Amino acid sequence: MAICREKTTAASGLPDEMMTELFLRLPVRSLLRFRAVCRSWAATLSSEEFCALHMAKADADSVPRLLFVAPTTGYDSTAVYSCST
Amino acid sequence: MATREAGKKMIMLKSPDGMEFEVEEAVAMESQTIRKMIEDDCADTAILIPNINSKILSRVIEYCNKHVPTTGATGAAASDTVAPAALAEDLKIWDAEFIKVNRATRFDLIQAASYLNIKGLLDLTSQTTIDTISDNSLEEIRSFLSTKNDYLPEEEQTIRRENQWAFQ
Repeated sequence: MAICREKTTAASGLPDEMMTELFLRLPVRSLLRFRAVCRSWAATLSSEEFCALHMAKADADSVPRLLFVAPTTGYDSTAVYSCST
Repeated sequence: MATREAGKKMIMLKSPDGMEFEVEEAVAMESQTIRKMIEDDCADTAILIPNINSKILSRVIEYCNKHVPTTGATGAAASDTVAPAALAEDLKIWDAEFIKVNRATRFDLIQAASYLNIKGLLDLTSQTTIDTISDNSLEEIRSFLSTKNDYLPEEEQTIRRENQWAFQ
């Protein structure tokens, strides 16, 4: 499962494939937050390939989920609420 | 449980640091990687497990030993007297104790579970790690996973703004 082979987490003690294995288990909210950790994570977490895998995993877990999207009071951004188990 | 019964095939697993572990074939086959080796007749008398030291390998075997009766496909599980629900609950508690290890050991277990392809152990180790850090601050996450922040301050601000709801 090779996702983003950019240099990324060489010093972490976990190779890229393992990081992806972890990322696949993140709730959506954390996924977005983790994009601000570093450039390579942002690249991985934003890639189409990763998103497809993440969605496939969510489907496989078959937990009913609710996603509610609404503009915030300032109308300059969007609030997204997700609900799981 | 560890009593060796006649007729049970044993497999020798060797770690690169020279330790040998004799385990029941059914226990070793909790690892899909080892299962494949055995099924393809690649396993002779002993299997060398590269990259997994004896300390981690012994923990992995401990996990497989505990989990083999419930996931094993052999019809006559040893513990027929225990109700499945109670057994599952017991496993959950056991897993929670098993995973109480330091960060380095946890990472080693994740990699071992991945290499040996033991889904239950990979799920347990990965999910526990994610549960530990998913709500942490960015600084804590960077520190835990030894990742450096390579954003310029204004770039980080932009990313935060774009994903504002996730930071609230």
